[in-house]
Amino acid sequence: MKWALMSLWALAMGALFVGIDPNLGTVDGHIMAILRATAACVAWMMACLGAGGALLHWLSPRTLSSEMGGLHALAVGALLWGLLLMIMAVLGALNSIGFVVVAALMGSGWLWRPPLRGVHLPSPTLAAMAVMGMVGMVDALAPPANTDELYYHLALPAEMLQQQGLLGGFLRPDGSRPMLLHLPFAALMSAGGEMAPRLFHLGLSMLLPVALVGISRQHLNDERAGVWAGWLLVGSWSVIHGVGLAANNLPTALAVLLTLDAALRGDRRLLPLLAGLALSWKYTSAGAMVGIWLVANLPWRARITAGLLALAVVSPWWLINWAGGLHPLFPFAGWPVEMPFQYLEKYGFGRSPLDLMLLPYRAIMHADIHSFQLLGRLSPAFAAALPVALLMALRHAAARRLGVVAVVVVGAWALGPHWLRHLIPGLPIVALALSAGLQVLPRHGLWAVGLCLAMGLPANWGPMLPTLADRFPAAMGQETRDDYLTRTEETWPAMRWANDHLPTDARVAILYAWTGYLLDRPIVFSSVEDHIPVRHWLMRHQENSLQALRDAGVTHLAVGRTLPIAQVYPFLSPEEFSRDFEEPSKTLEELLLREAILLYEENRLRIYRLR
Amino acid sequence: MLWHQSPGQWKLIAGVWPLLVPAALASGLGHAGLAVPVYAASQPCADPRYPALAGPWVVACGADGLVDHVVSVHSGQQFPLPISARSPALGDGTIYIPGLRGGLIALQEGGPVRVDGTAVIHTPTVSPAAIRGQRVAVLGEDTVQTALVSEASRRLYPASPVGWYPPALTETGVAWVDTGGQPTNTEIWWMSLSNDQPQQLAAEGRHVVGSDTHLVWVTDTHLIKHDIADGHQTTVNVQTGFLSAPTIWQDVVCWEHWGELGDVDISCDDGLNVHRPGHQHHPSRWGRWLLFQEAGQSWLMTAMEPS
Repeated sequence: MKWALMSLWALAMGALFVGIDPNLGTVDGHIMAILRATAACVAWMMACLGAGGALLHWLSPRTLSSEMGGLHALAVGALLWGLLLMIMAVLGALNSIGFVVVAALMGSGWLWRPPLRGVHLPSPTLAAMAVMGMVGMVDALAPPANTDELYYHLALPAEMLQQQGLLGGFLRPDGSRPMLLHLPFAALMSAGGEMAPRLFHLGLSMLLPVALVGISRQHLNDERAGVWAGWLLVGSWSVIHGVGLAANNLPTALAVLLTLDAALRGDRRLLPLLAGLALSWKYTSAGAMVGIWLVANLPWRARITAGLLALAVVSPWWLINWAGGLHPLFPFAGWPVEMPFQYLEKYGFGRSPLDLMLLPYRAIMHADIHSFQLLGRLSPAFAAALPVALLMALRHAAARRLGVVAVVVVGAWALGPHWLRHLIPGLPIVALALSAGLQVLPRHGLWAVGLCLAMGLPANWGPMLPTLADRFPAAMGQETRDDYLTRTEETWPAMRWANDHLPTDARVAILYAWTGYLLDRPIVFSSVEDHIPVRHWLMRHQENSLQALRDAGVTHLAVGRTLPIAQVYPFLSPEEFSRDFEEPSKTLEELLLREAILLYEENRLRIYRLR
Repeated sequence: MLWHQSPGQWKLIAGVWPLLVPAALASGLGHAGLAVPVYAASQPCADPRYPALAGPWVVACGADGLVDHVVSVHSGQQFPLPISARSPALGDGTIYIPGLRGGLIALQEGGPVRVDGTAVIHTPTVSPAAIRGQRVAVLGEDTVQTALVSEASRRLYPASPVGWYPPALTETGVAWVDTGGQPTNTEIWWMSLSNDQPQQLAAEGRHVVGSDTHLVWVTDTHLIKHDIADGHQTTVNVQTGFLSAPTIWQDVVCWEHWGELGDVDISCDDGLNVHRPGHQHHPSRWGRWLLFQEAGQSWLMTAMEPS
């Protein structure tokens, strides 16, 4: 009783401190927004656990009863969540009623009383999660400023909510990707505002160290590899800087880890579901999936079946594209005017055999968060743990399996664009494979690896801290969203002007710009890699490009000023560069003069009305 | 390119100007009948409405896109400004920059001089300011404000200005683009400084500019020239203002429009025209000089002396 009173006293002091804060008048709305977002996240995660737990109870009771059962239930529930919302979206019912129906269906899983278990966590893992939580909370609660959120991870859910259905096609190519994660983002946003998807993402990211510990205990018979692997991730800028942003790399990494667990358990029912989930969340998990498939503890026939079933889980998205007259893998393939979706040569340090062999070394030692070569940074502890990991792989079958998956992950990454973000879906497995040997290291060896990890922190955490400090007042509600965006997002003045002055029924094409999320109007385009949608449209329709937009219902344009720079594409011939980059820009500028009226311009973003 | 006067119009003879430019530059930037590139104003500005003329001075930008130097059209001499800014107000030989780091700059023969003791307007503005003589006007989120640069006090009037479009100051009042209470509207409003009563001048219009005697604004299909003294309006049936605002000096107006060659040209109602291949836009007129942009380069056109 006296401890209960003590707790109440402590809470009362906290509430009093906040209550008499003179800034409360400006932050109370923010506090309500945080509470609303948190409630939305908790409610949907509980629904996922209920639905996933019930399904697992039927599909794989053995896995459900393990300490990884809760994580698997959450993942299976998330898969069900996305698929149900996909059906709602196809029916044009992506609205409050649709969400309530889906939430009720999923929440009813609790009626089966699934016996969920959690992972018992060692203190260092809790500390890693705490670091993730502190970093992520600042980003999650501050206004969006991340490019990928503004054109993709928040923009698409917001727009799907507006349209109450799926997007896609040549006018909105990003919407033709699998939306299995972004539909739940939309549901979260509907109930909890723009913070909710980011808090959800933060929650999933914080489960990565948990999953690593669980897998380590289960398959390496020792939790220490999982603990170290968690810290390798937390000590890497590429992972830690994005935990509080809405994105799909880290959730996919969690799905990949759980797929690995199911494969090593030989769970032939769960494996295809989780593999399908990971692939639907992000195609770049394919490399990890191949590696996992190779080491799965299943007969070959069962592996082939599981692989086909995994593809079946992804296939609805291909069918939706196909039914819309698009290539099933659009926007990654199937553009009528032939052009590569990505210029692989643009990234990394080169693609000669020697360059590819040196890539892992360069990825750790030469990566720069500001350079287009790798656009990220990893902890040097990845390299420090390598020798002992190799030794461990020679002696221990489970470590060898992890090593095989890690090699396939890195190899698949090397085949694609060399941005470190594309490695993230498989990175936890790489971290776990490298950490597998650390459990046999003597204490002084562990100290050395720990020191190496610490030596990497200034370069990995250092660049993040000024950003967090800058975002902190906005995250706490002491700086308004408008003030923050005015200060940090150069397209915001033009977007705010458009929000204030464009007709409510305006439909705006975003050309050569990324920040569609900031516009409160239906949009088309926004940008994917190298502004492909816009360039493609201009190359396809030539002088009829704006007329074709008008025919599609577009009334206004938001046009960024871009100056194609040939030095960024040294692998293109002058003719190719002119055809693919300069000519589309010239065509657009000429058409803007003839067919549009400039209404506003600030910071290189122009707002036009089509004549 | 060589220009010569024919009755009522300036005509262009292409292909000769490269031979003549060095001679033109030797005696300043302009030379009657010539359009010459102003290389000292070749840096693109963060606000594409600049470079522009502030009296006989080309106001131009540095590598950071900020307005930071001027070039005399008389001597061709270039001077740095004591303060740089993104979108300053340009007057007849004056530059005004609102805000705590702003001030008034007098463009004198020996170079720009910052004028001490000027009032500071530090409320957030939604567009560039305007200056005429000693009077300035700025547009806030929901106000129109005018003040004498030498006085600390200023007059505030409730309004709903549309951002980006600067106000137009005349000797007797101020005009601006206003929503009229409907966010999507662009109306022209006017307020006489003598009665402080804002009134709607036009239900539709953008890009209002002013001189001592006239206001000019555009619609999608017309250019309207409004005589302040008697309210008489002259309407030119032209599609203009699609990229840049018209410009006015005294009662001379210049504007962009689509020309016979199928590109954007500039015409002035005193007969000075720039009709030549390529797009000419962003006109800025003062006296005999017309500054404009073509293919990312500033050009200065000088009218012939009247015979």
